[in-house]
Amino acid sequence: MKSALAIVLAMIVTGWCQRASGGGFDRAIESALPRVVKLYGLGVGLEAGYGTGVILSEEGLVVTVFSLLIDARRVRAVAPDGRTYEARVLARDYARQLALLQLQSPTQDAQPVGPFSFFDLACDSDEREHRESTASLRPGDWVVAVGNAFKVADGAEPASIAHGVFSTRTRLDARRRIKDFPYTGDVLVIDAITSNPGAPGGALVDLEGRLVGMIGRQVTSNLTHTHFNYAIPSDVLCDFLQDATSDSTSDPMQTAGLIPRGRMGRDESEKSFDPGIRLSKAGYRTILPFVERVRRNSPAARAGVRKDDLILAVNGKNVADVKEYESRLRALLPGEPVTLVIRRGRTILTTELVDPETSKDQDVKTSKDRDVGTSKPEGKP
Amino acid sequence: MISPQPPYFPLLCLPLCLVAIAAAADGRMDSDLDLVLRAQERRIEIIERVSPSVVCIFDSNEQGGGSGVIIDPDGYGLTNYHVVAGMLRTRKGLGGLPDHQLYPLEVLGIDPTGDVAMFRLTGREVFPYVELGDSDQVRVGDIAYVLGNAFMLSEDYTPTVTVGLVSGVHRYQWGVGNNLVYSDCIQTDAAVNPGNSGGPLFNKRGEVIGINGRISINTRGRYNVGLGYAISSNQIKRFIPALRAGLLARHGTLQAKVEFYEGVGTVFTSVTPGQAADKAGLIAGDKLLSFDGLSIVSRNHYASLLGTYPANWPVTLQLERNGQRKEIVVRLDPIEPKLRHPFTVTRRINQREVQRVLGRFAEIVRGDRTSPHPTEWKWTVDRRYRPASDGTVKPPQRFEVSQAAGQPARMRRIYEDGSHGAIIEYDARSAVRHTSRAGESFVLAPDDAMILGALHLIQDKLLTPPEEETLADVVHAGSAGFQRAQESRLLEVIAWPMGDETIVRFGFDTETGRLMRAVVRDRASGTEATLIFGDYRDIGGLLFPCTLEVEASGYAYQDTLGNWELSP
Repeated sequence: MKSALAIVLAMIVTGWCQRASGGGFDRAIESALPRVVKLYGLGVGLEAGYGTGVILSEEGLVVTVFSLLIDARRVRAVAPDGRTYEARVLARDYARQLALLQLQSPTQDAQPVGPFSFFDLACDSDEREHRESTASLRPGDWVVAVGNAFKVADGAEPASIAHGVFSTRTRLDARRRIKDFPYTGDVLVIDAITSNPGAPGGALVDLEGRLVGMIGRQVTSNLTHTHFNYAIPSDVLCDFLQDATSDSTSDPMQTAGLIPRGRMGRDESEKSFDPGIRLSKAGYRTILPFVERVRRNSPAARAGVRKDDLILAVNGKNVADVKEYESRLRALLPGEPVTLVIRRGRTILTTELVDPETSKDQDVKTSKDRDVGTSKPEGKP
Repeated sequence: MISPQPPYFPLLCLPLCLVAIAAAADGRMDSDLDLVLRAQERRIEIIERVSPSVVCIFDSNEQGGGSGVIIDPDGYGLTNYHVVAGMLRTRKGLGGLPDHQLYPLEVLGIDPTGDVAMFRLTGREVFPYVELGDSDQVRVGDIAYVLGNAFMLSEDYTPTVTVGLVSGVHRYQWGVGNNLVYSDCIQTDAAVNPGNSGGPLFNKRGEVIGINGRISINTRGRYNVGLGYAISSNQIKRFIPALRAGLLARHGTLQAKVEFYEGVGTVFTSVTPGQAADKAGLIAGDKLLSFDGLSIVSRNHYASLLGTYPANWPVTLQLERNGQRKEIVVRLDPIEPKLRHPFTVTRRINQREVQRVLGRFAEIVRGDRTSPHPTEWKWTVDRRYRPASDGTVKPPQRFEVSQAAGQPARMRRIYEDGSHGAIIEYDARSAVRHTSRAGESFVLAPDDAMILGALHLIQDKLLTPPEEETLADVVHAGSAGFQRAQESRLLEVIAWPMGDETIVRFGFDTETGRLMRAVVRDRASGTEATLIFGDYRDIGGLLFPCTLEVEASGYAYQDTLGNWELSP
């Protein structure tokens, strides 16, 4: 008996030791690695043609992020054992930025596939394990992210792992390049770097190996322009799974509407400011910000901006090309007034653009600054 | 322990378990904290122990640079090829250590394909150094420490420390042509940034498991995004002898292409005619099941394993052809790295390695023998011939061999009736070979002469550490081409000319330091004889090989050496 007690004690103590010495990630890693698939599909421009998915059922139901990747004619999924499957898209949810896939035999022989190791979200049971695990996650708790970042792993090679701590559960004010990021629900912010091509769709697990979330798409902060490392919480995955599987006849795109309104809507003023200018795309390497078209009744139109104007500066800062112009615009705080310096022919003008949504009562001013043609450079022959 | 538990065990155990758990839970906070603090203490200890050997590398203008790590007290260290590539013209640079001193740095051998280079720091009697660990023991989830001069931040040459996990093992990262291929590398999520290149990746015991040299980068810029790659220490170990000798190390290739194969294994799609794989009998369409005993899981995996082997290394491939299993051994062809300037071997650097290898062998042979080097040797040789190609076997022979300092080596046959044959002499000094039978002199059969010459060289030259510069060169380090097909021991090969006509290539085992092989080649006739040494035994306080297998054109035999007489 004494020896039995000793063994039990030893097990407890070694369990803790592992936790403290770093070997404690073993459980998380062993749980997650066999439950993710590497996805290969459509890649266009900066959109990586590869990603990750999390296996949610024995029969090969896989959840991943909503992206161009799954729009490929054939989406290939490589299981942890190196076997290749075709992934059929069952549902897409634009609002949650999620997609549901079904793994099937690549030969189209309609043979059932699997069984796969999977994360049991237990969505329909009363005691939802995922909710517990997400709820029990406290800021500072270790988490492990597993995914196909940079498609380093090939075939049966295990996906890449990254470790970090859970920081907080919150909502994002984020953007994908110049577009707003449509997902407005809660995210789990983590300090492991997961904002990498291929990583989205990967599993985020706690030290016990429970799925607490799925790595979200690469997004940047509207405020700071830095990349967010975050995951979509597993309860959101569950909501999606229920919506997507409850009524198979409904258009999956409709599930966007299932997110409660309050979560969905952001204040209009938080939207990035649109001056209503379309710029010329002509150029090589450097594209100068020439105005191609001004939308009627837009702030720019009311400020008197015209076609063929060259934008020189935004809020006192010079812009060398279209890229710089766009990044200056993105950096604006909500409601911040915009002053443009414009070159029109041989004249330099300063105009102030006002966001009609934030300050409708302000006047639109256009002032003639100085005439380039008449001013002579000083101090030079 | 594995015997089935008695059925009452769980019942009896339960209350005790609960007690144990409850007791443990009470003290949990304190003991958890203790464990964390102790783990932290250990981590700090290890970092303090290994830091002194981490080098901040600068080129002579102190412009660019990277990191490195010292692996022996003489100041030999490892870094990336791409860190020293800009210094190759002068071979000079500077190495800063955490003692805040800058030391002169000389670039030794390079391995552009594997992105590894060796350097040596001078200016100190004994340098702090660290050991290389076994990278095959590294597991995903292990703690890893990255030390190095990240972003060249360090003004006082103390390294930046970052900690992470091993994110993946046996990774493969494509190179630029034949250069900078990261085979079988270790992936970590510890921060690796520009400037960390060439620095060490440590395991939790403070052993070097890799050399960091590459990161994945995002559109954000050239800095860490959580994926750093380190060249595994086990790959580097295979190239270290060549790098120490200042040689250009070459990796091996099969000269065959593979394609992505869905599932386990990979398939060869083309084989270059007349090259390594073709010569070994590989044909396009063969499915590769295992490579050197390891099952292949993907194309990446195959490329990753192959990339770790030096040229000439024999690898065993298990193939599937038409449903049949087949095993072949391929000796890898060398890959030529692309270099901007031709790489020349510096004789001074090479000599240093010759001295080290010979010195080590002498030390191993002498052991703790305190008496001076014997001036006279005498032993008998029992020679058993192997069957010739026509099945005939020559009868066994017996010889008596003697060797005195400064004298030619002598060998004479002892007949069964006890009578002696003619004395065969070999004088390495004048490289004249002759036999004398009753005063007559004639030319000795070249093979016997060469073998005797090699033995002479061993006793005359190899057993005493050379003090002055020798004629010898380290010409090769890796799996020597003259090894038997299946053997894959790492040998360091020293070529030593004897006179004008004969050259002997000695192969020393890099692990044990023992002499394993010698190939004697007569330049004029082109004849070659291979000597394989074995059965190292204590002979009067000396550790000396007591069997000698000889393979030459037309005959093969095994000599058993015995009846040693050494004096003094």
